[in-house]
Amino acid sequence: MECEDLAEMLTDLLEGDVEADEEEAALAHLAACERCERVLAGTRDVIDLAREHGRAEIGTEDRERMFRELQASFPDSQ
Amino acid sequence: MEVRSQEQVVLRFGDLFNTNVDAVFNVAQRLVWNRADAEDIVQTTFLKALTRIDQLRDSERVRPWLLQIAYRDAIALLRRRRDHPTDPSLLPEHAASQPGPGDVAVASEMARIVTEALNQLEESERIAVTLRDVEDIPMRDVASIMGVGLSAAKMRVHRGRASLRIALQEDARSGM
Repeated sequence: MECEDLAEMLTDLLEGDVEADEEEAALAHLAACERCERVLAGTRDVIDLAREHGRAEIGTEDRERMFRELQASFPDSQ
Repeated sequence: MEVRSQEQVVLRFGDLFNTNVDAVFNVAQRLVWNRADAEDIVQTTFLKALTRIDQLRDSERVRPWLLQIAYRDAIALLRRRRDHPTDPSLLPEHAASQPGPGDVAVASEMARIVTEALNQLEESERIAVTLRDVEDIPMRDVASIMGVGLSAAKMRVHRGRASLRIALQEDARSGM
């Protein structure tokens, strides 16, 4: 496996969406290629950062206000 | 079992709203970058959910369904902005390099950094990453929400992550 091959299957690898033999070849390449190993680790870090810090927060007060406004639309609330 | 009483409707809808509103708002905000517009999209999305409250039982399917409504509404708004670029009521609230007003409540420095990095991504890549990585939506649902095939969704996520990695590295370098 070459670096280009690893780059192409990176998302599938992270999704766990690869055949066993493909995964074995990818892991063998990663063990030998510091650059690809850094890319994989960096991508995992990015995913973790996005998951932990990437959400636009609505805020408690606005969430409650919006729910009150929606309640006015309930079928029997008129 | 059908919903029979107003109380049951309120309880079920309240649960639906509380479980999903943060994700719906996040996706809307990451597309339109205008808090008022994002809130309008949230309201529209949950009003549609209210009309189908009896049919929304499978919790794993509900969130992608809600996000698809929000996504389509947001894309429609972006098209109106493009068609009417001088209409002040349709403008985003900030320059492209600034975090959105929906992020005012986000307190941490790391959240600001990630938000600014996300904002540098091309629109379809930003939403693909927001759906897959921020909201943990399965890849097949990312594809469905965005109305593309699975391969295209994977490509958008792949490119988005690569762009985000570069943007975060540049931010780290500039902060040295």
